[in-house]
Amino acid sequence: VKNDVRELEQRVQEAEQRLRKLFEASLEGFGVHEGGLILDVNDTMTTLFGYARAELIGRGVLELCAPEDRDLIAAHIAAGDDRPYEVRAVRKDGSTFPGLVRGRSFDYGGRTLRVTAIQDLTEARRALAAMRAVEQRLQTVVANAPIVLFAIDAAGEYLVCEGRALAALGIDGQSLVGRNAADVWRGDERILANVRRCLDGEEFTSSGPLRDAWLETHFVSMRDGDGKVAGAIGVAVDMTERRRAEEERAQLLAQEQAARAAAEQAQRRSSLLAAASRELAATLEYEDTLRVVPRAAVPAMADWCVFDVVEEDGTVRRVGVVHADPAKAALAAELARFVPDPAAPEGVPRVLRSGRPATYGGLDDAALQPDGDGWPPIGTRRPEHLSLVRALGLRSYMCVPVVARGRTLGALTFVSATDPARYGADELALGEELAHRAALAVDSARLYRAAQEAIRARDEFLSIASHELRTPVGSLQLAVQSLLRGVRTGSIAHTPRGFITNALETMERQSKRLVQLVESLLDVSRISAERLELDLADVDLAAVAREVADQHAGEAVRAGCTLEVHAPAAAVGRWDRARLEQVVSNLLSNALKYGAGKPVRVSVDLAGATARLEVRDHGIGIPAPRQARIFERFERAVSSAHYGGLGLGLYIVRRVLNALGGSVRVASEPGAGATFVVELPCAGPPAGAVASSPGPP
Amino acid sequence: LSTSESLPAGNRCVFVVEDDADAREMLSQVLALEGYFVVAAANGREALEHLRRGAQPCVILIDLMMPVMNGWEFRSEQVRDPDLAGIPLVVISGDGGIDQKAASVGADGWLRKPIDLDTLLATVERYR
Repeated sequence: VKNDVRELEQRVQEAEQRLRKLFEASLEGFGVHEGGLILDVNDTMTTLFGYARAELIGRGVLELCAPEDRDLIAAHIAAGDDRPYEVRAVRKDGSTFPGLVRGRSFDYGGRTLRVTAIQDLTEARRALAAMRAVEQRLQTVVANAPIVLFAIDAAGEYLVCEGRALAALGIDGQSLVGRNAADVWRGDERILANVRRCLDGEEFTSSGPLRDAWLETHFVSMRDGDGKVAGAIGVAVDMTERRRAEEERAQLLAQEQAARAAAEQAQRRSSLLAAASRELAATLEYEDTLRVVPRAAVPAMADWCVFDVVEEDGTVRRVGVVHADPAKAALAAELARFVPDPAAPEGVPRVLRSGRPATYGGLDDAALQPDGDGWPPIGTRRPEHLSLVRALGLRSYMCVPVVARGRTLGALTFVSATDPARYGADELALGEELAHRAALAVDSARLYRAAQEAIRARDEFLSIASHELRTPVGSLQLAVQSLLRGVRTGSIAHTPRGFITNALETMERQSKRLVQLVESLLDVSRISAERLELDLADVDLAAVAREVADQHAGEAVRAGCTLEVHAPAAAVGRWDRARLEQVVSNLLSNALKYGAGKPVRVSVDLAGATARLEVRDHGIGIPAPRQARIFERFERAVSSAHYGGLGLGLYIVRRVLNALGGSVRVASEPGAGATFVVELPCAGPPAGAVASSPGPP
Repeated sequence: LSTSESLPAGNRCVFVVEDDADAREMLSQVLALEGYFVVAAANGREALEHLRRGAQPCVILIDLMMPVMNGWEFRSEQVRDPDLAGIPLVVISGDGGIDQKAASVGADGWLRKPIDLDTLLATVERYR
């Protein structure tokens, strides 16, 4: 028995030790108290409160908590309440810590004991606070980040939708939770497709518009433990501002590039035009000016440039072909031999006809082939002309008219040998500006040439007038001096009578010649000033012709001409007799002068209401190119080195006839004489045409 | 006036080459009145024809601006012919710059229209 007791005791001891160890090993503080006085504590309790075990045993439990919690503890003990509660525990050193207390009362051999566990909540509290802080921060971040954070389950239902960016979209994130994306975004195929892709397990970023905003959304699939897609998470960033800024930047960049391009273009234009103006201003000589014009365009505006000029007589002359490639200079010079075909529907002829520019592009060798009846889109269809153009190279070109004072002076052709679309609106405007400057220069050069010509003609006229005046004055002077000498020396008594008569007649003729010369000069002055006065009356042209022919009889004899007048019938019209005499006299003098030694015939006839006067000689004649000019002031058909005269006779004839409503023309062959034909309406000048004429009542 | 058929040689023969009939006539007559034998021609060709028939004037008075053959053309024909090249030539003209024109044809002298009678006689006298 003793052994059994001992064994039992031993077992009890062992059990007690096990319990004790368990009691001690607990992380919680344990204490057993009875009636509020501590009976036992474990080591954890001593550590928690900083007391030795002995100090705690026998101590009242209420001493271990803050005074304000003692009533609560007492109430729990009294009530035997075993629900956990928190108190502020007080350590031996007076410091406190939050403690979670749980007590249970039990009966121990009739005694009511209470076991109390206390757990230090300091760390837990700290962790909780920390966790709360993290949560708070996360919530703050999500709520304030300029994003939308959302999660959708595998069925497409919203689990979460948060973020400050929602406000800008006008979406209430909370209201989406529980709704299906398919319902929320019904009709927005882009968003629905993204949701499907993500629920299919794809990770991607998509950007696109939503309402007034632009979102960039990163989609990530949520997966469960087995790796199966359980939903989708999306983070959408509101890129609206950034996109707007980017757009603005792109717009600004584009504007800046456009402005720079425009500035460069303007710079290019102005420097090209300035250079052209400088070159054009460097000369007033017509031919030099024509040569400068196409040079100004190459190479800045064209690989090669052609200038076709319309001369004052209407003929088209190709004055310059300039090529940027010196190796093609010879070919370019070759092209200058070809003048555009006036019949061509396109190219230079069209521009010269219309006075409007034309541009042509997308041309290739095939377009420049002679093609039967058709016309290639340039101003020719001659095979050799076309092959030359192909050799020079032509892919596109523009042709602009050179216009000054409303007249088309020519056309400038700018050619690109390589670019099939070189000439757009800008190039055309530049071409027209260059053509405008060229036109001013060409017009100035023509005016300068005309002025030079006028000055030359005036100088020549002065020289001729001096000669013409001095000749009769010379004869007059010799006659006078000769007679005077005879009178002074007394030799006049022996001077043959014939000589004296001759001298006096010479003097008379020279006086008349001088008066006529002066009259001619005055007529020119009157005609120039439009002050030709007409004294209109009924005049018989046949009678005038006969009388004037009689007056020229002596002159005809001296010239060795027979003078025949054929005026069988009267030809009466309302004309100025003196002026008509002047017309016949001038024509007859010319005929005798240039047809010396050959017969001269004057005839008058009437054709209806028009009188016709013809003066025909068989003299040297007038070459065709000069026929149009002989009626101009100071002009003559032949060199003044051979024939004298003021060069005014035919000019006066034409102007007088114009004033009388009539006309004069010439038919002539060099060496075969000339026939001047005058036509005069018998009714006289049209009403109002002779405003300055006093006229008979 | 004179005809080419009976042209006397000698130092009192003067050629007047002038296209203006009045001027030609007046010059011829005043010179004839002073005892000169005058051969008148209306242009260079006529003058050349007279010379080639043997006329030998002491001086040729010639206008430059004439039809058919002008003074310059006449002069170049004259100097090309050794028989005629030595005959003195005096240019008569109403133009300005007569001195230069005279020099341009290599003339021996010039008379400007209107010609003063005394100057005319003194000039011709120089070549007798």
